Amino acid sequence: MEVELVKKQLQLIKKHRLMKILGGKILTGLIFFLALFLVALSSSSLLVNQANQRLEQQAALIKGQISSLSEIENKQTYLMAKLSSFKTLLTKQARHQAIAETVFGLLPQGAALKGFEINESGNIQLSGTVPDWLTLKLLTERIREPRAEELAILKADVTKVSYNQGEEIAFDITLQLSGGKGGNEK
Amino acid sequence: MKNKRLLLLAVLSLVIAGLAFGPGLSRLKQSLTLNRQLKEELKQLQFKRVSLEGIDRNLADERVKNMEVIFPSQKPVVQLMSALSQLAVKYNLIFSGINLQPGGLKASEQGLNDLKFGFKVDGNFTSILQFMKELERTAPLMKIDKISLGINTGPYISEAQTLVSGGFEVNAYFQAPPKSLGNITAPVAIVTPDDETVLTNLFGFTQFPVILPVAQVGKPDLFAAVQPEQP
Repeated sequence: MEVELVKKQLQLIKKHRLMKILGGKILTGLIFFLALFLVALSSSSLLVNQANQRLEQQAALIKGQISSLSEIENKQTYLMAKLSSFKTLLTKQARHQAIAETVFGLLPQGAALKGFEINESGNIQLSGTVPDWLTLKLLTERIREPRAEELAILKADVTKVSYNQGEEIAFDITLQLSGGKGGNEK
Repeated sequence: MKNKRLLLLAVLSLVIAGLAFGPGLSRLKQSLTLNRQLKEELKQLQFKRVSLEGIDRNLADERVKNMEVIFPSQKPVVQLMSALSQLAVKYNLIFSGINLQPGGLKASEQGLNDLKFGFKVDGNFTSILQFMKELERTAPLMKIDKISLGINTGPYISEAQTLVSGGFEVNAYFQAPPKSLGNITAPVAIVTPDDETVLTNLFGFTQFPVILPVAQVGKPDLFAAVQPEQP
């Protein structure tokens, strides 16, 4: 019985010793791994910092080169800032020019135009005077058949004709030209 | 008891590891973020440099000069007067009755300003038509807003002699240039083929020289002694 107790105790001591050895090995391995990790971490940090420095130097170099091109950059920025408005104005202007030329071309000799306005729906309100009925007829004929180089007239309404003895004939005409709202570009 | 001790040991190890490696890991993370940002910035800068190097200096210079004449940065009153009077002379028209409205200025969202003005021209029918056609292709940029025409004729007046009185209300435009270039990494705007087409219009405008008095007129010093004329 005594012998068996000693044997058990011996086994226990052996097991403890083995555990200690194993624990020691694991601890050493862990320390070694952590040291390795620390070195890797420091190296990576160092490498990344060096790369950052190189990138900063390159960026500074390119910034210098860009600064030397600032004159051309100024010009390009200036042009591009104005381009959008200029483009809009040119588009509107071309349309306006065509309308003005068409209205101008419609008027026969002797006619007087007090003004023309373009309302929100794109209709053009013409108002003016003609000296006689023949000129008014000529005006309406020109509206019916405008010249080839002018904008096509999609719709025309004579909204007012007034005449007093011995005075000129006053007229109001509403026109809808091609290329506007609902019209086709000629 | 033994398990508790092991757990405590594990937690303690983690805390120690965190304290030891935390700052290092944090610094590495920051460096990597900075690295990504720097790479991106470098890419933008390289692209900007290549874009700027690719711009034709002479063409840009010409475009800017023409843009400033056609679509000026400041109120183009002197240029307008000069251009209109010279355009009228070109077509043998009598230019009169100019009416400026400098108070009617308001900037749009894009910073576009307009200057309204009216004037009268008298001449023959063809000349006025040609004047009108060229007006909107004359620098500075103008747009006819309203027209009133009086065509005076009679049975004994030929078409060539017909006197036309034209009253015009015109808008001229100007826009101040951008105040700054912005960030150095901001990309430079590239001209698209569509923009190129618009920019070619800058070379189709009639430009008249601005006539300004250059010689001093009158007496420079009002209180100077009058020199007697030499016999």
